[in-house]
Amino acid sequence: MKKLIFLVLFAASCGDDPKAAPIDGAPPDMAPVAPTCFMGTPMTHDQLINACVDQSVTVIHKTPMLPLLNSDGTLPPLP
Amino acid sequence: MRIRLSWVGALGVLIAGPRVAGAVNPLCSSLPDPIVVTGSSAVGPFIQEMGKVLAGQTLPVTLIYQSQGSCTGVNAIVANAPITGTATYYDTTGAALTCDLDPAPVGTKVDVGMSDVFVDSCTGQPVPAGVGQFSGPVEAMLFVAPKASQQQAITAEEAFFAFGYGAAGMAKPWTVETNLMRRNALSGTQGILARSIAVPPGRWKGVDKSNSQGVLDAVVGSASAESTVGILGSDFYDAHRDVLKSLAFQAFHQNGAYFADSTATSFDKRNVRDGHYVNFGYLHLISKVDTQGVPSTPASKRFVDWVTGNTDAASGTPAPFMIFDITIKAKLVPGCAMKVQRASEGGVIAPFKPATDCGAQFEAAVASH
Repeated sequence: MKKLIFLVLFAASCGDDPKAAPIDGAPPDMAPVAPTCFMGTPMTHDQLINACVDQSVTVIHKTPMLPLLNSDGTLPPLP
Repeated sequence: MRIRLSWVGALGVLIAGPRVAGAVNPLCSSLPDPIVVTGSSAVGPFIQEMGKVLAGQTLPVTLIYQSQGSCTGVNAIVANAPITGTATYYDTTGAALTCDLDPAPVGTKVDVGMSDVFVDSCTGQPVPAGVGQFSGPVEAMLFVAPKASQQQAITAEEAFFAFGYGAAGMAKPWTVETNLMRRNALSGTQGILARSIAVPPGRWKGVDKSNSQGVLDAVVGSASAESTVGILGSDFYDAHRDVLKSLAFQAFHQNGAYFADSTATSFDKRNVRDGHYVNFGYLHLISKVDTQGVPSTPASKRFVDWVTGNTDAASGTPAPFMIFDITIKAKLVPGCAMKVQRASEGGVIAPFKPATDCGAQFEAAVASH
């Protein structure tokens, strides 16, 4: 239940961040969709690093192409 | 021989005052009321700010600093390792001067080791008995690029492949290993960033540039701005923003990349202070302590008291400066301006409420940059 509340709060906090910037010269319509942020009083590590910020804070959303990243998004072992 | 050199050093001070690098240096031990510190190279501006005030007192104190890397500072105290060679001290204008430490095999005993990382990050062991670890100001560690670079941000995954795999990691545009300007396994800057990108400090690809100045010179002098990335403490970066840019950083499981400051051009360290920028650590002061946990020599106690703000005349040491002001001038973050904390290297971030919140005072002070 607690986890569900967190997920709902997380999803409800969606909002386009006007400071989000496209990267590498990508045109605005190619920019990655802004992910969600945590709304409320952050208490845990993940909540703190993902807490919603006001428009005075620059947030850059980036989706790099990393060929060696595992398909599930995890990292491979170091060589 | 040692006696003769001491006389030469003493005469140099008496006749001509402090010597500049390249001339015959005075012995560090001949300088007025010396306090010897060593370790982090990132903390140089902080030492400089303190040193120039201390040098200007009616009864001057000489802050003697050898920049070597955080774990060398830890080792100097934990392993009783004296330092040799030359060290830096400062005159009343903040100009860096050079003095000679006592030669091997005796060397010069260190009063306080300075480290950007916790003791256990260097030794792999808890702080041993008889050694104290005291937390000072907060510093962010940054990925930096030449001013001409078009890059704005780096994700933890990108940094993992760039610094963990080198060219083979295909983390464009950072695929040229000679353009990855790093430090080494003894560096606190590298140690803190290593935790955030899951590449142990001793396994980084790239070129060891020895110290912060070496990284700065290499990044600025690179012929390929786009493929160049380096690592620096935020205080060093803030003093060289005219030739560098910092990259926003996106941690694992984070929803976006954030600068240490709220924007690329501000100095407020807001994202460090509220936890959005995860690459931060404390300046740790390492000294021998007595059974009460108090620094065991007058020199080490004075220095630790000054930096930690224990300046009450009853139990601490009155300071000839406000440590808040020194911290601001050195472009570090006072602990009282933090809203988050962590208890271990790269550990989880948790909310923090200082006894006296100086966040507003901090923001007002840095707004004048």
